[in-house]
Amino acid sequence: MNKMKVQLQVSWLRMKLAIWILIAAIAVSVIANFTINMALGSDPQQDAQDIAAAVGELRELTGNNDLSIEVPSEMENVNVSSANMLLILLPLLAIILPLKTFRPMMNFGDSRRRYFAGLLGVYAVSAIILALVNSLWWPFEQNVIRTYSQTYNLIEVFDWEQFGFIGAFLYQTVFYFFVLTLFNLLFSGLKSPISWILWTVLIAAIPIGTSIASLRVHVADFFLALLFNDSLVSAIGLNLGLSLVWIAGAWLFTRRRTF
Amino acid sequence: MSSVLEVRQLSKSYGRTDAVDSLNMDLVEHTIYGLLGRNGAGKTTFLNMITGGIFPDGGEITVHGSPLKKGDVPAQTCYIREKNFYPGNARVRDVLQMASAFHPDWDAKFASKLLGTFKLNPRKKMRHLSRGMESMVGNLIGLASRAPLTIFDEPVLGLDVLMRERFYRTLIEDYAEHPRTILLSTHLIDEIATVVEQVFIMESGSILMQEEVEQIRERAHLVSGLGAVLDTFVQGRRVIHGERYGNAGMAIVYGDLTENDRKIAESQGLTVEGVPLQKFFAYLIEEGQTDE
Amino acid sequence: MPIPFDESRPIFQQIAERIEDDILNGTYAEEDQIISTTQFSRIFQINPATIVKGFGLLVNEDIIYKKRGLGMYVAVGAKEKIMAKRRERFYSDLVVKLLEEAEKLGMTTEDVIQMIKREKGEQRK
Repeated sequence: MNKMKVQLQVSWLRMKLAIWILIAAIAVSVIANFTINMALGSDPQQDAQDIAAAVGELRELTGNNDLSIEVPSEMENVNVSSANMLLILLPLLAIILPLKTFRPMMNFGDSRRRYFAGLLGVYAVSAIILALVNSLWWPFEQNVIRTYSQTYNLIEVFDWEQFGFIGAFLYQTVFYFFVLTLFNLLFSGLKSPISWILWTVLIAAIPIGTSIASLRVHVADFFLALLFNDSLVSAIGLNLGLSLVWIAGAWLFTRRRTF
Repeated sequence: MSSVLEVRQLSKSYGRTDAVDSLNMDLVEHTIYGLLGRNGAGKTTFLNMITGGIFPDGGEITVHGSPLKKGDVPAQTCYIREKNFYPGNARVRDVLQMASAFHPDWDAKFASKLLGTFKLNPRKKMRHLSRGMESMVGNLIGLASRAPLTIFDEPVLGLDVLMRERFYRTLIEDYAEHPRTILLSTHLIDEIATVVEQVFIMESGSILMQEEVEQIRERAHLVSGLGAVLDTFVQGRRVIHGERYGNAGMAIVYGDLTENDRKIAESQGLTVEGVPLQKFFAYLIEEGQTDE
Repeated sequence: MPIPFDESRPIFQQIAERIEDDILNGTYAEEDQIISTTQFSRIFQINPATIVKGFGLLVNEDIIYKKRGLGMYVAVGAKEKIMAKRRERFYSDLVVKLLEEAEKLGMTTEDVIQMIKREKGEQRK
């Protein structure tokens, strides 16, 4: 057994419970959603036709051609894609792993350097797996799930379809890696005062960035470039570039992290 | 004898209290050492520093000839902590497998033999083990690692007498065949008295005494008799502890007594006896405290 | 195995005495191999270095000797040497002290001899 395998095993032991709970929750929601839709015989297209027919009848009966029925939006059955719900794993991984695997690895006699490299390896593999799962889920979601339920998927929301299967997969991978390394930075140095400053800045940045109009434009631009980028190359560059900054910060915490 | 660990002027304080204070220590190869001291004497802080877990405020640490830089961990070292951090939902056999990856001298055959010796069920999960069994998993790893520097912090915590003996016997047996440097940190002196060659007595972050155990047995004396006579006899000698009752008194004296010294003592009606080790250590630590 | 040694005296001396006892009582004859350091260490849970030191005392007194690669052996004439040494100690440690104590109690040397004879006589019965 080599050290990387040990780290994978320790990571799995620490994540096991969270992963099973998440998968169980997703499964329950999928099944519940499916059965409810079946029981109600719900079909979005059918519903729209039914409503249109009903409105036509009412118009005939009342002779009022302006009559219409408004369907409140919350009545529409819209869910987040199950494959996207799996993305809750991104913050979970990057919170639990730095908090719960550092000491066991050190206790076995691991060095901080190797532990950190291994941790990045775990993040890279996780980002790839989650991107792959969502990419493979996406055609299934369009062709099967959408026949009975309305769903959202990041691929569609951020318009990553435009880059094709491989492009969407790459965009997801780098963005997931960005999220993982960001959370990892925040949870790698909880004992360090620099980390507290980082947290304060981050917490303060959200209201300030959104409330000051002149800043708001830049914040919006930033998120557009990060998520809605029309150039795949610049999107990958931005996501990976920022990831490198988070990684460098996390390493500064980890190399001085005490047991 | 080549040096395995060299510690110079090591210091660490938490707030205003000095956990470790200008501590020096030299360990050479193929020796079993004891680090003795009460709970809170600074033993664990010291061990965490020499194994790179926490960082000293000052001083130098050299392990196997290379200086230990801040953030590094020493090579060829196995440190078994008092409180282990093996994942609770891992099985005993998995923990052993995992530990083996970090120790190039690991002996898998020996490890599986020790499972039997220490009565550990390899299929049990760590969180289902008693405190003593948990200690034993750590001890097993420490022994099977055969690391040139192996450190045990309170290895017999939670163990019954039988298992303590079994651990120390196994340690001695394996050490005889595979000599290495072993540092046993404990507050229980009785059992390690014959196992270790040298002891460091630690109190309030400092080493009070570093000595071969056999030397201590030779040098520690309990002298008793009439108070006045006793006073003249112990003058100029290192008195660790003294007590008076009426005209009589006793003193724990540390140092070599020549044949002549003994004759003089006897002729003056003083009795000279040996002192059991743990009694001696207890007095020594008390003395160290009153010095403060 | 409980430690059959006196914790307040150096163990290596007690180890040497133990081997001497075994030679005196015939456990080991001349040219017999004695217990190995490793065995001794394991049985009594004692650091091997301490045992080597104890055996060293006996080697210095030519009571045992080392055969390269084989172990420790009882030297010729070992028993006599031990007996001579112990007789001397018997005199200084026991006889001298016995008479000193007798004097404190106001007993004459003759009284002591009588006591010894009586003890021996009782044992013969």
